[in-house]
Amino acid sequence: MNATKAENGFNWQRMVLKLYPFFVLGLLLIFFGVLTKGTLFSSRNIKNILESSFQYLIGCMAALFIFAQGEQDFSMASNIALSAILAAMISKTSVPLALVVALVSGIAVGCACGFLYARLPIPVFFLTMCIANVIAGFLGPMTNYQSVKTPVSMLNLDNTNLKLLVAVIFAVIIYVIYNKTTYGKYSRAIGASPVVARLSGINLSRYKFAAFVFTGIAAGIVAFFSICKSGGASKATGTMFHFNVMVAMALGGATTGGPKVKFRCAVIGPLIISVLTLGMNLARIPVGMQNLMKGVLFLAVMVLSDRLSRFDVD
Amino acid sequence: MKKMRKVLAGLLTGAMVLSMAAFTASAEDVELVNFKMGYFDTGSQDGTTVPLRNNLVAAIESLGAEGVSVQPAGNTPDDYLDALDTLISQGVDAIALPWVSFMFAGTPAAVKKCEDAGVYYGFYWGVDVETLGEDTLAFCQDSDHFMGCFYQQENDAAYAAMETLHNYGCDKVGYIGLAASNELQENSRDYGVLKACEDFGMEILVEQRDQNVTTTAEGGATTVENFLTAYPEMQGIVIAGNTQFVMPGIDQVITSKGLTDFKVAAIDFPDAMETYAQDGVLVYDAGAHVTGPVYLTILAANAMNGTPLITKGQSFNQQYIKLTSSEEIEQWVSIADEIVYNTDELLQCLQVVNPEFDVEAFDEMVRNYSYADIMARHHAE
Amino acid sequence: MGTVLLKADHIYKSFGATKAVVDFSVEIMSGEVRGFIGENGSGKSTFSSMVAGVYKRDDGTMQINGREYVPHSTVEASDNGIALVVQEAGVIAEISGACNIFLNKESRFSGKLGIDFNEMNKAAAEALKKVYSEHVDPTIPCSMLNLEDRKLIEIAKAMCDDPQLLIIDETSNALTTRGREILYKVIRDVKARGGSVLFITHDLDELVEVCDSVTIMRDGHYITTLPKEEMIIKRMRELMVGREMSDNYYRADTVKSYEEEVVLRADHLSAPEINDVSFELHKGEILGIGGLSDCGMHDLGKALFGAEKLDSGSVVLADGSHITDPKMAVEKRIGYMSKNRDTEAIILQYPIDENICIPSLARLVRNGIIRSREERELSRTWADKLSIKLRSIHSYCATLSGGNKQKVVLAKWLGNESRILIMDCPTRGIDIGVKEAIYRLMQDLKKEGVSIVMISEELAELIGMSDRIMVMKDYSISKILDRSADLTEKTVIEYMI
Repeated sequence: MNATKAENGFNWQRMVLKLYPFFVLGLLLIFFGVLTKGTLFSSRNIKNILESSFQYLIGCMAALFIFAQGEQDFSMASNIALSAILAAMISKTSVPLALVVALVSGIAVGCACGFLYARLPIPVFFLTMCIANVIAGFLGPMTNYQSVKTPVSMLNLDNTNLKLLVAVIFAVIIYVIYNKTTYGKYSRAIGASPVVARLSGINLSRYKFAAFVFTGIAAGIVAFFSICKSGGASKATGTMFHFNVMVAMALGGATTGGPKVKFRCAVIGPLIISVLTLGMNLARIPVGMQNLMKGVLFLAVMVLSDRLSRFDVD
Repeated sequence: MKKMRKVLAGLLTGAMVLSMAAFTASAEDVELVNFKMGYFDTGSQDGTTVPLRNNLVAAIESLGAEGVSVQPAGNTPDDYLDALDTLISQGVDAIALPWVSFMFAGTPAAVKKCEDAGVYYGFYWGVDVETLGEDTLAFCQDSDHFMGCFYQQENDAAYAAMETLHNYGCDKVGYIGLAASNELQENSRDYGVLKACEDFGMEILVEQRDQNVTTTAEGGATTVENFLTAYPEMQGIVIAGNTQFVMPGIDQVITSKGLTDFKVAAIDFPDAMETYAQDGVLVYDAGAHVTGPVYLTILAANAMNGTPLITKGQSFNQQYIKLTSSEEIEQWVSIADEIVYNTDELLQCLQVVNPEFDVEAFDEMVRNYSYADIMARHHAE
Repeated sequence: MGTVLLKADHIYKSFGATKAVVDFSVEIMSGEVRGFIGENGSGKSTFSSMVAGVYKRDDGTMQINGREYVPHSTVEASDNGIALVVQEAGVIAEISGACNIFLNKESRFSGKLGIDFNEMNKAAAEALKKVYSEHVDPTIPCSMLNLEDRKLIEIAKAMCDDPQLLIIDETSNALTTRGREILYKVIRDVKARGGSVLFITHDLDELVEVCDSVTIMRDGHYITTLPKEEMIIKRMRELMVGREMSDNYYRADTVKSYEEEVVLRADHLSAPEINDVSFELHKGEILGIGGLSDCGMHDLGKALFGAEKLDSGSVVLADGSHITDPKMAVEKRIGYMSKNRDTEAIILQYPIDENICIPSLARLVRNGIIRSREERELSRTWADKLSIKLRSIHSYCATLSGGNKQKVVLAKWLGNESRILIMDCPTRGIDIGVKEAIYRLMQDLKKEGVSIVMISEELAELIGMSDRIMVMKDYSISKILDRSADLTEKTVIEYMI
């Protein structure tokens, strides 16, 4: 018995909709490249794009698992602040130890969120918001509402080449885990239908927990590099991080959970935001107009994404 | 003999005037270097940001420069450091940095970026040079690109606010302000408040420093309601920060409760402050410290035109406009929208136009900033 | 039957590259009950959806009572007196039956302070009475009603405005005997007042009983319309599939046949809807479980898979392990095909190949990495073996017909080398072509020593396929009947009710 296939012709419309984040990025590069007379492509500005997208590349890639499950992690910002503050405090003693502390702190918060997510029947956004508030509540008194300074020598670690290396290594690791292991595949299945996932033998608790471990690791990395860059940490470190991750993922094409959350969403989305922000500034577009342009672009992307969802493309 | 001295004095004065006339080139004769002045623009429309932006833009145009602004993505030092990268990548020659957006932690990174890029830079809304700290000074102390710091006398402004309340018989007060410092700096608002308490026998009954509360009018209203409920004996409030956000809510509560003896003294000007003065609520305000970027532009213009006023960073004491009565508030409001220094005045601050202008004259200009100064220059009868 | 109520001329509809309806023309008279039959994917549901305003046609014309009819929405269709009752869930579970019945018609009950819910509830009770369903409480959320009562709510909703054309799309297979009787009464009522019914069903016996005529579709095309006197089941089947078919596609043998080895033992299982159930499943056995819809057999199926929490008792395998959760069941090579195919058995918005591979992935992992080639081979092999009609193996399951979806479910569990299969209503909503294939497959699996628990509400299927039939009543086992040539539906029913 052989499977029969119906007509399978090339559909350009479907192809465009499938790859629209790439087209959006490409169009922005061309548009601002022309508007800035090529200044956008100077080595300094390419460096700026990479610098400004670094933390969101890390955050979005790690958040793939939770997004695939159809959820969001609203605790990332507070996690970054906490990890950054703890790392900054330790940095006076030892910079390598500061990195370890940042990672351990990030993972610890991630584990706490993951454990509660796996065990409690509470919507994730609500759960992570509560955890974020708990953390934020004691960050102020912990630091006496001041910045915790780091040794000036850490500014040397605010290095584009180092960040590029970290981002590439992280990307390779996440790509493999997301696409070639059960962590990624089961996260997408859970996002598409937790009921069927469970009845297909998937241990939901394990993968829900794991999703938060990934975001916890990202929080630690982002926290460490944040203190290297800004010379310190405060309760305001990482403000709105989770929101920016949400926007970046949406721009990258991940507007719903399940199989539509592709690895490329986590790469294209942050780059779109960086190119757009830098391009508008280089082009001297007035502040009010910048906000308008951002709003229009986001709306256009949402509409495209809705159109895409009507096709059965994966 | 007497007559001879008079003649000689007259000849000397004439010679000096003639020589000055010979050396003081007119502005039209001088070709100014066009340079890019970078600054941060949050896009805010509040009563401090708008005059700051307007004055800066006017100064940039007057001094033959091109303004390059960038909007930071948020309010954190990270956001400002990213914005700084963007400014530098746009090829600016000089940058006005708001110290308060970087604070102690972020300043070394900001200074390092500017030094590495070889741009002129200086701080406003901040501390004096010495207070920047060793880490920052290590990068900029001997740098000829560092244009110094423009700082206000925060303790004086706060002290005067408390003194005004004391003069109105309000010795038991509530405090609304920014987050407390780890270490109390001498030139800080809190220091001035505490010193006034000591000198005048005043008492701070309760404080509200939560930035989530003190950044909205509703937060201001709720705060004063809570203050009055917990401390019925309270006689006034000193607002040491976020005035522009909380004042509308505070005024609304006080006037609706008919508390005619309850007074408010503030630092930073809110929008429509004359209405609060007319309501009899606001009796003191210190603000309009909006000229720091203008002064930095002057320093930058001099440097870019080959006649730097300074060779290393200095501290300049920027003035608050202190208004100690509702009449003074209304007087100020009538000229608040005016540009503080017009084109001719700014051009006279360039050594290529006016060789007599030096750093002492510059310092004096900064210190003289006041209502009276503006009136004398622009509204002399 | 009187005048032409619905006239459709040269209707075309495609979904991407799939031509769902091709040059389809039909006329339905007023006062007529017209059956629509065809294999899954024949276009009958697509056509009825176009009439009901769910889809827009690509080409062709429709007329209602001689006037051009171009519905842009179900609301417009409703305004033209056309009502649709769908196969799957058509109510909003979180709101009451009354709110569901008068959805989008709440303005009828506008009071001074908003909606007068008392009036709405009264009107809902009347609407339910009209469809012989007074026993259904319209004031409680539909989530508290069983599936049949929710379907009756839908029927009441469709009937509340006396539609001139009632479309019933494969609804009857979600109903028990009682529910079907109600549905037939409703159909007769519509006919009696001059309205028409478009009745889509796979149950040909039901079709012959209820319909005045039947239109047959195949691959989106119109084949023919048979008047009542020509509605012979064998002929209708052949016209549907386009070839001759045997009369009986169940097992030919008449005695039970399985090995002595017990592969699964249910020990005193108890749960809210399971009352001290114990039985053994043998290697190579097809154990049928039958009963009324709410006798507890569906919950039992879930419990055997570890998907239903037990109050007491245990499900034990031959190796002594106790099944406590689905993950463990899958590891032990147990497969579960839920009767709620679209919500529990496959992920619709998910690629076909990935659906097939989900339970097997853990086996395909080496050093933490899934072996992609083996994953691909697994899905293609089973898609081929089961002849799944698909556009691309990466297409979403939502694009498949009901029968092909069920094949994906089968592929999923067979791909995991399941030795025990729990099949709950395996042929529900499936055309005879696929049904036949599934029955053949079950027999092949039986020969290979795979043990099957088949839960079914179709007596013919139970009798035709099972080695033993375990009849349940009121959450308990009523009787276990052996396969026999003399076993009749009457005998089974006696133990069910």
